[in-house]
This record gives sequence, C-alpha cells and structure tokens, in this order.
Amino acid sequence: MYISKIKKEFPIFQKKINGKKLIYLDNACTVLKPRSVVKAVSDFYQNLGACAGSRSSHHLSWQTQELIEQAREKVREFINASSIKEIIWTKNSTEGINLIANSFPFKKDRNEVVLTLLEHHSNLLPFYEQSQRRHFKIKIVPPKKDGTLDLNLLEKVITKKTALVVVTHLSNVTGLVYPIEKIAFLAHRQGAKILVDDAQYVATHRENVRKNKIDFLVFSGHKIGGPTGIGVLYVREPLLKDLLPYNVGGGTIQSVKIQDNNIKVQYLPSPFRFEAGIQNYAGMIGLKSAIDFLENQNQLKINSWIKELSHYAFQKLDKFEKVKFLADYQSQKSSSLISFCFNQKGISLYDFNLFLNHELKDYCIAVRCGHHCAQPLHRFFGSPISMRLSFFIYNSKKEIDIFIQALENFLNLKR
Amino acid sequence: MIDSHKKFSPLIETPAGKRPLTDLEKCLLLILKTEDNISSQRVLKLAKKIKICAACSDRSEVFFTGERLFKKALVKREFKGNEYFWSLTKKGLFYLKKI
Repeated sequence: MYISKIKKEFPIFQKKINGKKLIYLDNACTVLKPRSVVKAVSDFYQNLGACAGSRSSHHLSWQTQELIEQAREKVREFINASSIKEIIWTKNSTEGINLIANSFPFKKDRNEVVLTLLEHHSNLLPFYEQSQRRHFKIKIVPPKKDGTLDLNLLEKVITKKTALVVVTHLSNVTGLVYPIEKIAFLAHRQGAKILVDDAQYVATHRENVRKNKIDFLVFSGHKIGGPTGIGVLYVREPLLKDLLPYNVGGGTIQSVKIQDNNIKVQYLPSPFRFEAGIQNYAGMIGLKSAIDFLENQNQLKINSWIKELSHYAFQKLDKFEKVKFLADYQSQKSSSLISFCFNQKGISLYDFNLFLNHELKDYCIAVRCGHHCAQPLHRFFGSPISMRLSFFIYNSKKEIDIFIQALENFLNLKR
Repeated sequence: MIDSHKKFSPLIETPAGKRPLTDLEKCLLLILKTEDNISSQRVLKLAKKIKICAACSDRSEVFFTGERLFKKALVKREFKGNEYFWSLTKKGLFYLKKI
C-alpha cells in the first residue's frame, strides 16, 4: 500500500495536533474524511443547498433530486441490493435498527428475537425497549470465550417461534467477522428473518446482501469516510410492505384526508414512506463520494492490508505480559481491530490513553478507551473497559511500532 | 428579566463564546473539592458517589471533561510515575464556589 500517497487524500494529516503528528487508530469509531468527500458536501451547500425535487419544483431542487437518486443507486450497487426501493436513508445504523424494532410485524405465534451478546448497545436496546411495549421475547446467545460464535448453540436457540435473528457482521469489540451466510441459513430454515449490523463491516469488506441472503441490514456513512448523520437501512423488497410506519410526516404520504373527525392516510411506497421530513441531502451526496473513494482504492487490497495490520499489532502486543486480549487472535485473525486490557491492577488504561495524547514528543496517538458501547460484552470478558486499536487504509506498520514503543515506555515507568 | 444561568451557573470562556459549565464539568470540580490532588483511578471511584456525575455514560468522559477544564485552567493535570494526578486551580476554586 502506498500509505504516504493515500494520506495526502486526507486533509487532517496535513495538519499537526498540538504541534505533533497525528497517528489515528480510532477508525472503528469513525473514519477520517477524504478530500473528495469534504468537497462533495461543500459543493452541495455552495452550489445547491435546496430541497430535493419531490417537494419543490425548480432548477436547484431538480439538480438536488438527481444527485440523491445517484447516491441511492450507488449504495444499491455497493451492497448488491436488487432495487433502489430497498435502500432507505437513515441518520445512522442505530436509527435503522430502531426502525426495524418498531416496525417489524411480530405475530402471536412468532414473537421471539434472537440476539447475541456480541451486540453493541445500539443493536440491543432498541429491541429491549420495544420488547417491553410490543410484548415480544428476547433470547441472548453468548459467544465462546475466544470471541467466536457457537453455531450449534445458535441453531438450538432459533426455533419456529423466532421472528428475527439480530447479529453483527463484525464486532466492534472483538474485531472478528461472523458467518452471516450460515446464520441466515439457520434463521431462514425456521422461517425467521435476519437483521445484520454492518456498521463495522462495510469499511473493510465488500457486502453482498443477495449472496448472504440478508433480509435487513444497516450501516453508517461516517464509518466508511462519509459524513456523520447519514446511514442506510436495507430491506429485502418483499418484506417492505409488511413493515409498520415508524417515523412519519412530510414526504411520506400520498394523501391525507380528514372527514368527520377521522383521519385517513395513504402512505407512499418504499423507500419514501420511511423517510419523513427534510432529508440530509449533503450526507447522501457525501456518502456516495465516500463509496467512490473506497472503490477507487480497490477494496480487496484494503481488506488484506487492514487484516495484515491487525495481525501485526496483535503479534507485537502479544509480547507484553501485562496485556490481555478480549478475543483469541491467535486462532482467529482479527479483521480490522484489536481490543486489549491490562491484566495487572494499578495500571490504568485511562492514564495510558492520556499518555498517548500528551507525553509523546513527536506524536499524538488517537485510540479508543472505554466500553465501546458494549458493556455486557465487556462484563462477559471480565473487563469493564478495553483499549481498541482500529485500522484503515492510511495506517502503517511504522505507526503500530510507535504505539508499541509508547506502551513499552509507559509500562516501564515507575509509580 | 432574571437570567437563571447567570445567577446560578458560572459562565466559562470558550473559543465560540461564553457558556455555562456542564454537569460533567461541575461533577469533576465537585470531586476535586472532596479530595484534591488525586489519581485518575481515585477520581473514578469518587465519581460514583456524586449525583450530578450520573450524566457520565462512559468513564473516559471524566477525563475528556478533565482535559477541557485543564485547557481553561480550572484544573491541573500532572503526570507522576505512570499516573495522572488531578487538582483544582485557584480559578477552579472560584468557579466551584458559584456552583
């Protein structure tokens, strides 16, 4: 990979942070923005900045409408969906999951949701909240201690009562990829549907919803270099008609009539009936630009480089006695990130995080330290928090070496 | 007209203008009022006892808040050994009296 050439595409790397060079290893939280995305968003606000054509009817709105329809088609192609009707704009993955938890048509004899303990709060809480209101049950499948999923256990838990299986494709804590095609098979065999959280997956892997037989899928634009505040919900076309209205209002209806104090509403077909209010047009256009950027870099190369970086980081960290990993990265190679904690009391990950920001002479290293919005999974692994190093195409082995040197220096300091 | 913010909550200067202290910022000042010059681990322990600190969802927010107060010279952060120690400055004490 030509790291220095790629870095030039990201304006943030041309700047110094407190007079130091930035090493950014917090890509699982959000990926930094390439120049082309910044330009696409800026161009929209400078040259258009209007409502799209489904509301207003003038030159600016027609052009805006054209751009967002191109963006929808780009997303369809990106995940290999069958139709643009299947692509619903959301503000992020979390909103897409909330939409499904609120709108999925549960039935009396099929009222169970199967989740895994690997899910972050965004994939757990929408179902927890709705289970209280809509009276469906939740079953939670724990992973194995090495971070992988026990498919035999999952197979037993999924029954004829299961309506929906909800699972992450790539965990934001373990960094492992889970076998979606097999899980979809287990769900479909019992007549259940599958919702896949692709928030972490799509930055480093090419998704194929048709090959993997996915019914519902979510991802966020900002995790692939797009703007914040734009996300995607994919719904397989035959399932669209059964979803209940969720976020309704302007832009979602064909007609509204009030007669004798009765309101009669006819909603638009999908995807519009799920997209209420003025939309994030700049976000959609920026997301298209981010996908273009990823495709121009060759996603297969990105995937193998990030996997290589993750394994390199694991090998280097594995030499420290005081480091404990949250998954078995020896038997299962991590895809894009490594999470670890200290196995000795009195050494604080929070202090090490501050150390990375303040005490290095030439560099400022950005990582994530905390529970990564996955408290149950951290409890399962016996550590309330962890430090996560997550990689993207602009990262290098030299940056990992600098991090490792910083860790060594920190651990050698005497209290 | 009575400006309740001005009366009950001290305003701090930021690059974007003046604003009141957030609950998390008040929380850290109150922790350091309880015990001064304490380690990060001790800060976290004390945070569990203060009601206002409930606004903190991830404990790293405590230190993110500490950094913001450090930049505004309300708290001091010192690195000793391999630990950070936190304490109030005179300016911090002044703000604390207004909470």
